[in-house]
Amino acid sequence: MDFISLRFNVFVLAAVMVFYLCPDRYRVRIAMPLLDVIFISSFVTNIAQLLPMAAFLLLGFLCIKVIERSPSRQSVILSIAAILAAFIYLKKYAFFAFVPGITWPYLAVGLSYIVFRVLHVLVDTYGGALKERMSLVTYFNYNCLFLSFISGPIQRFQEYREQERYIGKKEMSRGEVFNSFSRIINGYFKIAVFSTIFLSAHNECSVRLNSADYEFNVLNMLIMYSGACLTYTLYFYYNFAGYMDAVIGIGRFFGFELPENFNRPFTSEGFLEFWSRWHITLSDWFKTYIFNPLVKVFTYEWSYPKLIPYYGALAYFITFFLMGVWHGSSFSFLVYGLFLGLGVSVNKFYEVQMRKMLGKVSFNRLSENKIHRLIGAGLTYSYFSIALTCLWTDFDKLTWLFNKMGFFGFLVVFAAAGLFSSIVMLSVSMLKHLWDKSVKGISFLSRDFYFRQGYLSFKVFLLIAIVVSKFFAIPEFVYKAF
Amino acid sequence: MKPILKQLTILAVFFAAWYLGAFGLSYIIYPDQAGTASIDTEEASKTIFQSPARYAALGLPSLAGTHNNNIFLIGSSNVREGFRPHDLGAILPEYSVQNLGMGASNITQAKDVVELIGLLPKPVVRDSIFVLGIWYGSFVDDKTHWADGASNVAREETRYGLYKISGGQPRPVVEMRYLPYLVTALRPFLLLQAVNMYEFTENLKTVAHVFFRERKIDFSAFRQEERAPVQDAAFRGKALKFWSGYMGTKDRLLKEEQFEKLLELCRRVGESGARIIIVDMPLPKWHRDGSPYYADYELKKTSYINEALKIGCVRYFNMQGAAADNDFRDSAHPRASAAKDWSALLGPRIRSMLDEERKV
Amino acid sequence: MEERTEIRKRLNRVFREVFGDDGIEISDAMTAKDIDEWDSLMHIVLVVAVEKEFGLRLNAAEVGKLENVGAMIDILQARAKK
Repeated sequence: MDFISLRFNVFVLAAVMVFYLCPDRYRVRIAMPLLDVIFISSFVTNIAQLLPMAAFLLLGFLCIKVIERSPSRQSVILSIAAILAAFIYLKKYAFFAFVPGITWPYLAVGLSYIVFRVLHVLVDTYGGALKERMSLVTYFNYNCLFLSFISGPIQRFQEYREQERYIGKKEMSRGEVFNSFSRIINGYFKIAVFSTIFLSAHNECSVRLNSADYEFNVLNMLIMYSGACLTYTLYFYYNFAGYMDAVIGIGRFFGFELPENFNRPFTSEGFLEFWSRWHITLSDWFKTYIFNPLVKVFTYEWSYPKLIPYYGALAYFITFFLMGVWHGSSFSFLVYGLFLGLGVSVNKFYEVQMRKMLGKVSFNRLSENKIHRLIGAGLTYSYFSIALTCLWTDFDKLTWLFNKMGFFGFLVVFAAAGLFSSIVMLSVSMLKHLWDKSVKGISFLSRDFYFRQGYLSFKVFLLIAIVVSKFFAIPEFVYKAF
Repeated sequence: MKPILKQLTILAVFFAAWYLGAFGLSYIIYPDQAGTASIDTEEASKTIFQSPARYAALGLPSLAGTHNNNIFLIGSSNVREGFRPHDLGAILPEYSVQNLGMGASNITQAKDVVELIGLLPKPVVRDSIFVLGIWYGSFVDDKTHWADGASNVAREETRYGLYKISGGQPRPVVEMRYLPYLVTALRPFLLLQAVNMYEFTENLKTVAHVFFRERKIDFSAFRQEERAPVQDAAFRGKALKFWSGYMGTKDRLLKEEQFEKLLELCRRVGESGARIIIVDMPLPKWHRDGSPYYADYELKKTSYINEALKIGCVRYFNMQGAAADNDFRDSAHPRASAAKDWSALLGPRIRSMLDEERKV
Repeated sequence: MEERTEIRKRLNRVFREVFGDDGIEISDAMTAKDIDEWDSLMHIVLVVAVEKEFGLRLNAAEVGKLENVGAMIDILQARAKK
């Protein structure tokens, strides 16, 4: 079901009513799984298409039970290997194309997130971090909660379990309800309006890059390419963040406090910081289950302090490389992984070297410097935008672009688009500052009942007008593809 | 759950308030009830529909309850400006003239309009007269012309979900005579969309489509000057260049596609019991002589028109040489003063066509 | 509690060694923000040093959840009891 559709919103309304009207003892064991199954089934046309995912879930559950019973290094390593193998097989990773795959269509959406949940539970079971034995129902609910099924956020099992105890039992306050509705509407707005605008702009640029009809000189090509990159990032952000707004807002109706995935990502001053603000639950997962163990192993292996920055950079590279590869099964995601890995390692090296060269105090002063921060933010944005090229082109197109523009061309785009972004960010923040100042006087309005409700309902009115009149061709949810 | 339902109800109530407010506002800003008078796409920007295509798709259903004999003017903007309902109506007072000419139309879009009219109840369409104005520009093929494959009219049909299109034929989602009520219910949203000057942006898309293909466009060729005394060589050159870009094909030939569509259009008219008169629209001589497409147009047109004439309801009226170069304000459109003459030629021709029929 | 002060003293030594700064004085509320070099990377180096000093192993979840020094001491205290 598409989030911006009548069907889905009616489903949510019905789900909320079912939840609250359902007797306590049936809520978790019957109502929740039922709603999840209904939601998931809306993506398939017959039951057979659900079987591979069901088998995957079952495999995960069995592995957990084995580790619960006899936690040993072998069992956990074998389990992880089995889960990963099954995941790679079902996701049809391009480098394993020689293995015969399942020929009939099956649901693979959501698998990329389920694998995280399963692995995290596996590792934590082995580590003894889970307080109780895993029940099949809770396992299913945790993995397949309809809200976070398609694209997260990735919530830790322990958190989920805590919240599951109280769902349907807590009453929300009026303010909380209003804020949740507000969040959902704003999320829909981001998707329906902002992401659509930027996608159109992006398509205008990328179509011209792709078509043989248009012959560009190098400068025009660089400009067109920069335009395509910069707009795609904003499309991606508004689409994904809007989706998360809706998911988190709706989650509150059921009593779930789902974790945030975005925290003003474009204020990041470096690529490393970026990942603590963009798709936060993803980078948190990779940090906890890939980066930390890696660094631990390295530190035990090579305990010389001088080596720390080097094996640190290596750990960063591997972690982010894997994160990039996870995004998709084709070769262009290998390149994406390389981009990510390179970005963070270089960022880390820069930090370390600068700190060494300038000394701690000067380095801190440099980091506080407004121009340094602005340029950092701009370059972070342009680097990320270039990296994202892997998501809207295929491998052939990537190589074609590289041949046409050359490494130097990419460098120019990185610097020029970075500078451009810095200027835009500065202007935006200045405008925002002016706006905040001028509305300070009437801020009391936001607490007035009629103003609040009127404003929110006006947004609903606009949203419905936009959707009904297909004012914008609202794009499908971007992350469904990954 | 109670606070959630409560908030939902509050939102619904406030939403209804906005809806009704916009509804009322729509009548203040666009007081004309579309369709109670006859349809004139020249006035589209004054209605809540804003664009001729939307006007046709959403306004035609309101003819469902009428009982007049209709003349439907179909074609491009030269038809829209060339045959003013007022002038034509004076010559044929027993008919209601519906002006459905739309800028940058090709035959496909004209056919889309005919299909829409065909959905009206039989009494409205039977015995009506379709006037289809053609010129070489009408035969630009769909892929070259329409940015996303569908004509503007087709796009408007599906936009609000009022019609479903299958096999090129639209079907209203409710009976045609109830469609005007749905259109009325949509007024708050139509009002919102009217705000964005849709006609402007709609044609902008076509222009951009052509621009990026041909790498530049000279907008001065579009300038409307009532008193343009001199269409000098520079202006003519620019205009011809523009139209070449518009037509798109590098070999300067017209594809058969639109001619085939012309035959389908005529058959469709025949099926609904009406008649059609194909009018070969006037162009300035310099335009006819200067366009590389003209020769091919003349060539292909002849055989297809002959085919069309075999369908009983079709007539052909060649007005190509009917206007002097000075009658035009640009490369294809008549000045308002000259348009009267065009109707003065067409009107009697229709009159004699009707008289012939009566004799038989 | 005596145990706690003892743990804190040992932990302080570890901090000073890892960050190469003899002036460090840890407190329960201290977090990564309070020491410049304490980033995700050094966090693990620190954890390894703590594991070596106190002769235990923390699991992935525990490592991820160590928000401040107080939390560290809590875990060390809990493990010492076992």
